[in-house]
Parts: sequence; C-alpha cells; structure tokens
Amino acid sequence: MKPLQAKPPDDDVLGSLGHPSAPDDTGDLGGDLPDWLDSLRKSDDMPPAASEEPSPDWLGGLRSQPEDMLDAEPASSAASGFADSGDEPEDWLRGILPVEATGESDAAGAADLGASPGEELDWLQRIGADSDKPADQTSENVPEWLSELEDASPDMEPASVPEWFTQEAQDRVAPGDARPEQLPEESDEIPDWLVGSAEAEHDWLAEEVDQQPAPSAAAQDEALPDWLTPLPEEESAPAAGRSAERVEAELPDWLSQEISEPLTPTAAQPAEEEELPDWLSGEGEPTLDWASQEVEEQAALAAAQPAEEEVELPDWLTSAEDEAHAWMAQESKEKVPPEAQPADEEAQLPDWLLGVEDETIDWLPQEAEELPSAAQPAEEAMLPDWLSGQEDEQLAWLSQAAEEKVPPSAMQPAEEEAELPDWLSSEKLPDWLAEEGAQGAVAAQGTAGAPGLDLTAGEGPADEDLDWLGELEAAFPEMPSGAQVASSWGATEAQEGLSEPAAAFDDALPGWFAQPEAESGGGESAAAKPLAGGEDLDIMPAELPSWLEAMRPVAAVGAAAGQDEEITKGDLVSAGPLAGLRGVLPAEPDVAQITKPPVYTVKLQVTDLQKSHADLLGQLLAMEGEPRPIPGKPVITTQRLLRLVIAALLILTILVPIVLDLSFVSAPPAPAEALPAAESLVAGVPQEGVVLVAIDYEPGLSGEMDAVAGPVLDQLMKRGIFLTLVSTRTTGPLQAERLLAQLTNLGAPQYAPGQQYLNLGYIPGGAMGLLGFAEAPRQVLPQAMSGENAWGNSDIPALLNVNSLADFALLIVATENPDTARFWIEQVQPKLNDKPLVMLISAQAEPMVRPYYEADPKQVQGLVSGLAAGASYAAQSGYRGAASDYWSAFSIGMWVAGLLIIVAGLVNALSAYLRRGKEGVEGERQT
Amino acid sequence: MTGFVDLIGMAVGFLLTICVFSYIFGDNFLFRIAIHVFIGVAAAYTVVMVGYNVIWAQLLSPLLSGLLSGQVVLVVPLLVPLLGGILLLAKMNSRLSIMGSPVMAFLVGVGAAAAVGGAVLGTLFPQVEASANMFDFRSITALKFLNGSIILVGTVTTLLYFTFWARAGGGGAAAQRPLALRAISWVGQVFIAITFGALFAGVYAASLTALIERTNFMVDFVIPLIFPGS
Repeated sequence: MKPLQAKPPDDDVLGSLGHPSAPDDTGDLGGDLPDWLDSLRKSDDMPPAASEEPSPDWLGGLRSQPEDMLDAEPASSAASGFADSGDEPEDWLRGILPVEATGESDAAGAADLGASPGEELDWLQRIGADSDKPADQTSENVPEWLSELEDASPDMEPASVPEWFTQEAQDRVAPGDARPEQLPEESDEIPDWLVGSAEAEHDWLAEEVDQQPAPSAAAQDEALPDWLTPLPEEESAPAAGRSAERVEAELPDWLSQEISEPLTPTAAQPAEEEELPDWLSGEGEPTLDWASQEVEEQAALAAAQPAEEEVELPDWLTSAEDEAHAWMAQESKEKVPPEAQPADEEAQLPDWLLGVEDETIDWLPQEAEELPSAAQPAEEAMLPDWLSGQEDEQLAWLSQAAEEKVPPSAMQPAEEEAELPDWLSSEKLPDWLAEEGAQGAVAAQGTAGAPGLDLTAGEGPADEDLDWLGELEAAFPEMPSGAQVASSWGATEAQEGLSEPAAAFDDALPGWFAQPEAESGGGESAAAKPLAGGEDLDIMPAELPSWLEAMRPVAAVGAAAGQDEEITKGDLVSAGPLAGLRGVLPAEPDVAQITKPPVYTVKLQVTDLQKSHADLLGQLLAMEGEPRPIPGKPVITTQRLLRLVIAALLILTILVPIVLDLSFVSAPPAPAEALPAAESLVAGVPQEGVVLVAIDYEPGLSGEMDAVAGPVLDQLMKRGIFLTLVSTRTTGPLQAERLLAQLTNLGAPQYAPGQQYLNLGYIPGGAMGLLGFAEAPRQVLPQAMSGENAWGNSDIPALLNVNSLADFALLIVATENPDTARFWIEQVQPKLNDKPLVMLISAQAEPMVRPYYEADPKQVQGLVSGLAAGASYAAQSGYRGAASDYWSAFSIGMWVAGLLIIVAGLVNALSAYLRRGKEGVEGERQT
Repeated sequence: MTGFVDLIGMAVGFLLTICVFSYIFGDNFLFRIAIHVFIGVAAAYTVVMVGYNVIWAQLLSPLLSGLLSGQVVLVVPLLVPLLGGILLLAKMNSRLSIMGSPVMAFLVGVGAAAAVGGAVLGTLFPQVEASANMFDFRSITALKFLNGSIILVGTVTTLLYFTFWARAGGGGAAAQRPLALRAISWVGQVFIAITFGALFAGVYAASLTALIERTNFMVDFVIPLIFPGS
C-alpha cells in the first residue's frame, strides 16, 4: 500500500466556483466550463424580470447570465487574455463577472475587464462600507442560512467577498477579457447588494484592466485595499519558496499533526477517522459517499491550486455550492493538472479530508498505479479506483478535462492572495471555510510550489447537515444537478480514456444526484438543456420513473377534475329559483323519462334440421288430438261365444236339478274336522248362555252365507239361545234380521227382538271399532237397533250380566271376507278369554281363515266354510234349508266347472300343439 | 198386503237379477242400471244406518239426554267426537279441509296402530308359533310332521320365489338367478299355483252358490207365475 497522498493538482470545486486555475488566466473559459454551467449560460436567455424570484440575489446573478452574453463570449474571449491562455473562467463566475463589469461597462463602454484584482476588490470594500443597504436588501431574498450568517458575523461586511470571489475577479479582469456587449444586460441581473457597489467597482475594474497586461505581485499589492493588505503580506511569498515546513507551521494543530505524520492507508486512516465528524465518519453510509469523494476532490484541488488561491468561502457561499457538490467532485478530478504534486502535500490535508471512507482511501493508491502517465506519479497515486478501474471512455473525459482545465500557468502567483480583504482572513472565516481554504491552499501550494497558505481553518464542516442538499435542490430547481453535470462531463471526457470514474462516481453520489445522471443519457448532458421558459423557478418537467409515475394521483385527480368540469359544464339551471346554478340535481328522475323501448326481433333463427324436428313434433302433437276410428268388432267373437257357452252350460246344469228337483247327487260327504268342532261348540253353548253372532257379509253372497249360517243359527234358535247380533257392515244388521226371519220361516222358533235376540246393530270403525267393542262393548254399542238400552236393561235379562266379550258363551262370526274374519280373530279373539270362536265363512275365504283353525293353539275353534260344509252341517243337524236344496245344483256345477277346466285345458293344449305344428311346417317350407 | 209387498220385492229382485245376468252378453244398459240401483240403495242404506245407529244413537241421543238432564259429566266426553265429526266435514271443502286434518290424522294413526298391533299379536306371532309347534317332538306324528314340513317348505319356497336378484351373465348374456335359487323358486311357484287354485275354487264355489241361489230365486218367482198353483 502506498501512503496516502494528496490528490494531484486539480481544479476542485472551489476552483471552479471562484478560483480559476491560474490567476493570470485571461483566456476564454468557455471550453473549461462544465456542461451544466455551459448549459446555464446558454439557457440564460430568460428575461431580466425572471431574475426577480425569491432566490438569493447572488444566485440570481448566477442564473441571470444572459444567453447573449454567452453568445458573445467567443468574441470577448478572443479579445481577452483568457483566449490566449486557453483557460476560461467558470460560467457561473461569468455570471458574476459581468455584474462586476457592468459598472465598468457603463463607465468604460466596451473596455476590457482588465482591472487588477486589487481594484476589483475595492468594490468589495465599499460593499463592506455600505453593508446596511445590502443587508437590508438581501435579508428579503437571501436564504435563511445567509441571514443567519450575517447575524452571526456582525462584524463581517455583508458585501465582503471571499477570497475565491476576489480571485475570480482577478481572473476575470485579465487583459482582453472584457465583454462589453454583455455588460448592459448583465447589469440588470446584478444582485442588489452588488448594485450598490457597482459604481465603486468601476474604478478598480478599470485599474485592473490597465494593470492586467502586466500582472505582478507588486502591482497587485498596490491595488489591494487596506483591509486586504495583511493578507497579501502573508501570502505574497512565492509559491516556490514556500516550503512545506512553513505551511505546516501555519496549519492548525490538527493539520500539522496530519502533515507530520506520514499518511499511510493503514496508519493514518484510523487517526483520521477519529477526528472525523460524525457526518463524515459514517462509513458505508450511502449519503456520505459523495462527501468522501468531495473530500478527495478537495484534496486534489488543493494540490492543484496555487498557493495564492486560498479558499475561504463563507457559509453562504459554501451553501451556494450545494448544488454543485457533486459536480465539484468531478470537476476537481477533471481539473487535476498533469503536474506532479509533491508527496508532502497530502500531509496538509485536514483530518476531515483525510478521514474519508475506506473505499475512498483504497482507491487512491490504485488510482496512482493505474494512471498511465509515468511522469505523474503523484497524480497516479491520487487517482481513485473508480478512476483507474472505469471504462476507457471515462478515462477519456478525465484526461481531456485534465488537459483543458489545467491552465498553462497552473500556479497562481502569490500576489493575488494579497488582495484578500480582512474579513476573508482565516480568523474571520468560519472554521469550515477556513478549513476548505486551507485545503485548497495546501493543494495549490504543493502543486505549483506557491507559497503556502495561512491555514487557519479549524475543523471541517461537521456541523452541517446533509439536508442542505435537499433544500438547495428545492430552492434552486433551475440549476442543473450535479449528476447531470457529472454525466455530461463523463460523456465528454470519456473520450479521453484517461479514467473510468463514472460508475464509482455514481456510487458516491447522493441519490438525488445520481438519478438525473441516469436520465441524462449518453453524451448530451441534461445540464445542457436550457432552463424552462424564462422563469427562474420554473421546474423542468421531471421524468418520473414508471413506478413513481404509477403512484401519482394524477389520474384520480384528473378524473375528479373531469367530473367537476362536466358538472360545471352541464345542468345549468336556466329558470326557476335556482337559475344560474350548476350541478343541480334534476327534479325529474331519469326513469320517468319515457322513451321508446328498443324493438327486438322475435324471429327465431333456427337451422333446417331444427325446423324439421319442430315440425315433426308438431305433427305428433296434432295426431294425438285427432280421433282415430275404432275398428269394428264382430258381433259374435270367439271369446264372447265361449263366454255364452260356458254361462249357458252352467245355468242349464243348475236349472235342471232346481227345476226338476232332482236329488240324484248323493248326500254331502262326511264333514271335515272343523265341522264337528263347530257343531260341538254350538251344541256346547249353555242354555242360559248368550251367543254373540256377527253377521258380516254382503247381500251379494247372502245365498252362500245364509246356507252356511242357517244350520248353525237354526240349531241355536232351536235351543232358545239368546242371540246378540252385531255387524261391522252397514248391511249386516239387516242381513241378520232377514236371516232370522228366513230361519223362522224354515221352521226355527220365532225369535222376537229383545226376547230371544238383540240386534246391537252396526259397529263403526272397522278394526278400531272391533277393538273398542272388544274392550268395552257397552260403551261402543250402548243401544240396540230398536233404540232401547242394550245393557243393564231389565227387559233384556240376558245381557244384564254381560260386561265384556268374555261374558258371552260363544262368538260366531259369519263373513265372506277373509279380512273381516282376520279382524275378528286379531282384535276380538284375544279378548274372549278362552271362549270359543266359530267362523262361518264363505268358501272363498277358507284358504285365508283355515290357518287360524289349523294353528296350535287354535285361534278359531270351529270353522264352517262354504256350501258344502253348510250342507254337511245341515245334514248332521237335520236342518232342511237352502244348503240341502242347492247341493245337487252345486255338485253338478262343480263337476261342470271341473269338466270345463279340463276341456278348456285340453283345447288350449291342442291348439298350442296345432299352432306349433303349423309353425314348424311353415318354417320347413320357408327353409 | 204383505204378500203384495213381497211380490213387488221379488219382482224387483227378479228384474235386477235379469239385468245383472245380462252382463253375459257384455256391458249393457240393464247391467248398468242394476249396478247403479244397487250402489244407490246401498249408499242410502248406509247413511240411514250410520245416522241412526251411530250418530243419533251413540252421540246425539246421549248428548241431548245429558243436556236435558243437566249431567255435564256425560255431555263433555261427547263433545270431543262431536267436534271431531264436525271438523271431518270440513274435508269436503278444499279451503277448509285442513281443519279436518288433525281428526283424520288421529283416525289414521289409531287405525294403523290397531291394525299393526292386531296383525303382529293376532296373526304373525301366533302363526309363527303354530308353525313351530308342528315340529314339537313331544307331540309329533308322521302326518303332523308331513303337514308341518309341507307348510314349512311351501312358506320358504314361496318367499324365495319372490327373490328377484340375479347374477350378471358374461359375454352379454342375460342375467339369471342361480340354479339352486331357480329350483327353489320353482317349488315355491308350485305352492303359489296350488294356493291360487284353492282360492279360485273357493271363489268359484261361492260364485256358483250365488248363481244357484239366484237361479233358484228366479225359478221360484217365475214358475208360480207361469205355472200358478204349482
């Protein structure tokens, strides 16, 4: 690692601000101007009235550089000494110079601004004398920081110009640098505080013009005002004779210490960091990158500056360079003169300059190594990494800038410093300014061998906050940003291929600085763009990034504004009490406005296939509604003929035994098992017992049921058993009455109602009624069919002791319906308490009821089913009734039926056989 | 007088019987007249029977008797069936039918409960018990065992006959029941055929008896008319 060395001589920001690279620069500085300043010059075609913005006056002077002045610069430069020297003053200084020269121009017309520096500073003295007026004037327009500065330094004249200003004046008044055509216009833009001293400037400017052709230290000393005389004495020593020791002696302690210690990246850096203020010591903070670069640039500038150029900027000027902080850094690098800098100059750097970030220190040795010029060892050492490591194009502009910025006479004579006023002395300057001046002076001293500076600077500008950057940006929007300047410079100087600082430089720049650089794009600098309109504070339309553009509420505001505009445009009430108002809601809603409804076609768009399907469906529906003719039937069909034959056969077979009273059929067969049981049960009814008889059959089957029930009831009636008749059918009670009457007619005893029997009538409710009757017979059937009380009636003694069904001696159910029989079995039989149940049923119900009789235990104790059982029962009991009469007919009919079934079966089998044979024959024929 | 009324009655019966017999030749006007007369007479008789034997005899007569006698205890229980009967009349009107729904629900519920209870306790359990008792070895006989076996086989095979699940045939063949099941079903089918034959025989016997009775009635009515004094 190489020891830390001061940057190669270069025009730093201070140099660009007010210190020309050489005191005797009389050439046109237009070529050396940074782009942003160049653009500033070109864009200063704004009207004079535009300069009356609330910006500081001195900046107004800067901004108010008329374009015509710049346009006239070549001519003036040609006539001035700057053209010869090839060095040009900074543009913003041009903006100041014409102000100064305005008075002169008024007096001398087109005379050159060849006033000596000493004469140029006279007006500053007068300004100091007339401090009241400028103070009042500037108090209105100057920034706050400037006002504070004035308040804090009451003894300092408001018009007191710093040294750099004086130096610049000296540069500007070089012989042949007069620009008479600009003076009248520039006079309008003179700050107020300068206007007051304009007349005073005329004199010294004229003198300076006269003295400029042969500038010398002695002449300058003579021109120096009184208040500047001490300063030249200190700084009049030639730069070459100024040794490092003397500089070191003049340096403050902290600086002396730095000088005494060999600066090495390893040893000097920690100590420097300790002395760094907080805002500089924050390594790694992006916001301080630019500061580190600036420090380096300041050091380089100090090395490049002649010893006479003591940079002592007041606070307000320091703040004025806010906008140019970034470009100052680049400018300092660009203005590094090719001359080698003494290695010991770096020792003169203040701590705050040396105490930069690591990256800043690191690039120094690398840069020194990478610089191509072997004749410039110091310069190489001062080149940072980003300078050496950048692209060729970056190096190009750097080399170009170095060639352009460095004047032939890089060393300013020490005599120029003698013109500094008293108030510019280090004692009166702010610490930071003194420090910066000291840095610049040290750098200049080391570079040109000029006498060292009286560095009375104290500590660095640690107290300053970085917010001034933002404030300055906001206060002077028309000023090109440092990034733009840097980009423009980068584009220009990249062609030189000397360095590659762009990337590293961008990294060191603040965010607000780097963004415009990116937007500047390529070779054309954003600073080259003219300022918007003639307004000082007109802000050029920024190119917002897409993401920021998307966040702008412009659309919503625009939409809202559009709506408001619509409201204001329309609905202007023309009549009524609200006439003249806009945006009034309509009294009639829109829905009430009758409009003709749109007409839609009802024609369906269907394909041919769909249409055919629809037609087919329509035909089917139409056919369903049309009556179809019923095919005629033959009068006599086989089915009907067969029906007639069977009916006739049955009727004839039945009529013959009935009509002829033939008894050719034997007696009924012996009764089955159920019949004797029924007969015994009926016969086992006690004489005083009461038999409950249910007549539950329909009149249609009364012929069979009467034949079945007659023999049983006849047996009971012959015994005089009291019968209680009930029925679950509405026709049952009448069937019972008719049966009893029929039995009486057939020889049974006459049964009188209430005496031998009691017809309780109809039991409603089906199964429920039966269940209720089984549970409580008295409540369900309290009265007899005759209306008399059935229960507890003394007239019916048989029922006096009957309270439930179990009190009946026998239950006889005569029904042709198997379901009715089942209901009696299911609902009533369990309530009989072992009392017998005899079922007198039709033949058709026997298959359903017999299982109850066949069950074990028996649910039906006796069963008489059908005419055959009734006839058998009648034969056993000696009853001659219908069963006996019907038996022969019934027997013949059963045989006929059997024969018909057999014959029909045979006919069906034969017909089937014949059909199958016919089909087989036809099949064989077909095959 | 009694003989004339009986003669009129027998004449009406004869004519109606002839009208019903006319159905041998198919549906005809006489048959329809006889059917309509029978239905009308039966309905009228039912109304009279129910009104007189049920509503009046079992509801209104006790209610009036209680009111007249001042026996509220007898009257209050009768109000429930009276109110239920009135609400049932609301079923005739579609708008008021919902008023009779509770009463109808009560009747259906009680009727279902009675029917189900009677079927389970009066038919199912006793018949299961009876079938099981046929194989009681304490009192078993050959005939009883045979009878019981036939009943058991007939019952099982008949139930299996109504098993209609089948196994899907491969290769697109029709699904068929297993062979064993088909054999059992065939046995059950035989028992079902026998049962239907028995039922048909019973129906035929009952119908033949009715025909004989009607034929005998006509003979008894016509012969005296044709052959008076016979």
